[in-house]
Amino acid sequence: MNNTKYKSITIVHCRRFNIGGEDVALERIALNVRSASLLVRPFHNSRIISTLKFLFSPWYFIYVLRNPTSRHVICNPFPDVSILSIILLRIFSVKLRLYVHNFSFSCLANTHYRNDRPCFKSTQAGLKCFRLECNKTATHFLLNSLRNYLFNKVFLNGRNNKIYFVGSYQARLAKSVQPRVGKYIKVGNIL
Amino acid sequence: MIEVAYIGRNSPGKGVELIFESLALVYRNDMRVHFFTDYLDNNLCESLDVQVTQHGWISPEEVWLVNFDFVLIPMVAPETFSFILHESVKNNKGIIVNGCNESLTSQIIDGGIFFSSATSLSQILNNLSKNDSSVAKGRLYNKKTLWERLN
Repeated sequence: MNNTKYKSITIVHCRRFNIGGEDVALERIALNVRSASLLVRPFHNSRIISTLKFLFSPWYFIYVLRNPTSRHVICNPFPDVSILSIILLRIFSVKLRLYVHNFSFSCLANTHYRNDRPCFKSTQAGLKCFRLECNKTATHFLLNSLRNYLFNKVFLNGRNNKIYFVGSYQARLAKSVQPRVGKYIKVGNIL
Repeated sequence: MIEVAYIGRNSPGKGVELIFESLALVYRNDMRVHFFTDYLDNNLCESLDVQVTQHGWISPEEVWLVNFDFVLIPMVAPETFSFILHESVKNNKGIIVNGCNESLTSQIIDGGIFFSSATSLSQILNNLSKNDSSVAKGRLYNKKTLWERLN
């Protein structure tokens, strides 16, 4: 699949609990780019099922193989784009792109914001800042850690995979804490 | 009448409280501030010298049909990509930006009016005139779109 000429772009996005900037951005892309299609997966209430799906669901792997002429972009992978799928797609040498609209590469809480003030402790500590209080609950903390570390690690292990950052500032912060984020593309003005 | 707008959610990190802190120090009645946001404290709005118009949530297309010259972007929390910043520039509005927020300032090549605190914002608003709109119009880094990147 390495030499595939892409005819379209397919963005898969698992919706979070709150609608935010990334949802708006993706809708704009799908609206303005004729060849782009957006597949929004619904929010799941069950954390146990979500976590199991995130680890072992083959759905994304099958979905990508069924659409070989499309460039596949992942926004929020949790829970439908599983670790297993990413590993399998790596074996099949499928090029994937991760669209990052938040600070998930340089902050566990995705925001660099705490107690009404900007917070860069995670970047100063080289992403060794495991503060439970940045997350709503311990489960959120565990799921955030799982998503940010496990998914990013597996994704970046794929030689063909690249990341789209929406801002240079965000990319710089990500690179400062995760030197493996070498293969990124600045998407910039997506409007 | 100087028309200024704030567009966005009223949640921690967005800087709405910073706007109200500065508006308390703005002593002019020829200024109207449009808020395109959710709930605002009516008592707080009425206590100000400037006129406040609450539009609530309206569609993005309708926002730009309302007459205003400047957009306040007081964002305190770091932001990866500010739609309001980009849309304001696209719609030819002057931008008044929190200069302490590197995530915002790093997107601007030139133009724009910057403030560093509620006090400096109040000074800017006290002295703001229609003529400043050309200075306030910003230019952003024009990177390729996602689709251009893919092709």
